[in-house]
Amino acid sequence: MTVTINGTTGLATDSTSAVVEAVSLNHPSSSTAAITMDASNNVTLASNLTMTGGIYLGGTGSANLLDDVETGSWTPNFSTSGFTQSISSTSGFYTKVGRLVTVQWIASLASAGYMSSLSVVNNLPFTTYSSWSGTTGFYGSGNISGNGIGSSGYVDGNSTTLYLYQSISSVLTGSWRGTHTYFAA
Amino acid sequence: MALEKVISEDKIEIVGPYKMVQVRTKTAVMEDGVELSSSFHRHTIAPGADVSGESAEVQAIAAAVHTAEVIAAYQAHVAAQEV
Repeated sequence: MTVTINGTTGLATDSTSAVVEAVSLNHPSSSTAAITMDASNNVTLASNLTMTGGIYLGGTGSANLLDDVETGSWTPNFSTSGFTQSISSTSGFYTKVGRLVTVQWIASLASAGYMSSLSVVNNLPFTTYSSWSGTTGFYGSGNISGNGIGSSGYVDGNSTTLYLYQSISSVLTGSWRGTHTYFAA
Repeated sequence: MALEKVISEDKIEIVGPYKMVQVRTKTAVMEDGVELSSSFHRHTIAPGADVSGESAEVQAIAAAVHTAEVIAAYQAHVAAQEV
């Protein structure tokens, strides 16, 4: 069966049966299916789906709702630096899926050095969840051949601050990089 | 076919008891008014932070929500966390 709308074949089933077993919607200027649904209820989109709301996955409760995904960049601000050498530049990236935030950061040193004491990194891209604080992620040398062993980080609740424990190796390297995951407020 | 880079603070949020100000800056590449691509950069402003480099809108928001009481409470919170 084929349904013709406004002179354009845009909605079709794959069967002559009265029961619709599968549906496909074609783009008006293309014979390629833009949306298809097969007999097993699998829906396929040929391109992106834009939603202003969220999507429920695996259930219909509020705990199943995913309504925020975002990627971007941020600039770590070392208000206290435990590095033995000055920092020449910092940069970072983030990905947020629901409340889960993962940040990456890079701190390039003016010359080789290591972290001899605690560092305080401000300007996390999202405020941390109020009811949890603790160790998160790890940082280390930006160069695998540098053998620089870093340590972990720490975030507290209701904060945009990441604390970095001092490194456990004094092997020199020119940059340090970390990846940390936390819950957003 | 004019290409244009448009930078805007497209989302400003106030989060949590210490009124953290979260600012999202969007950089969009536009062609004849149609967005071709975009990217985000985020920064946050804690109570008591220097806002002199912020936009007038963000400065006004920070001034409104970062009261002396909020700043004092946040500083006490930070002091309790640091070792």
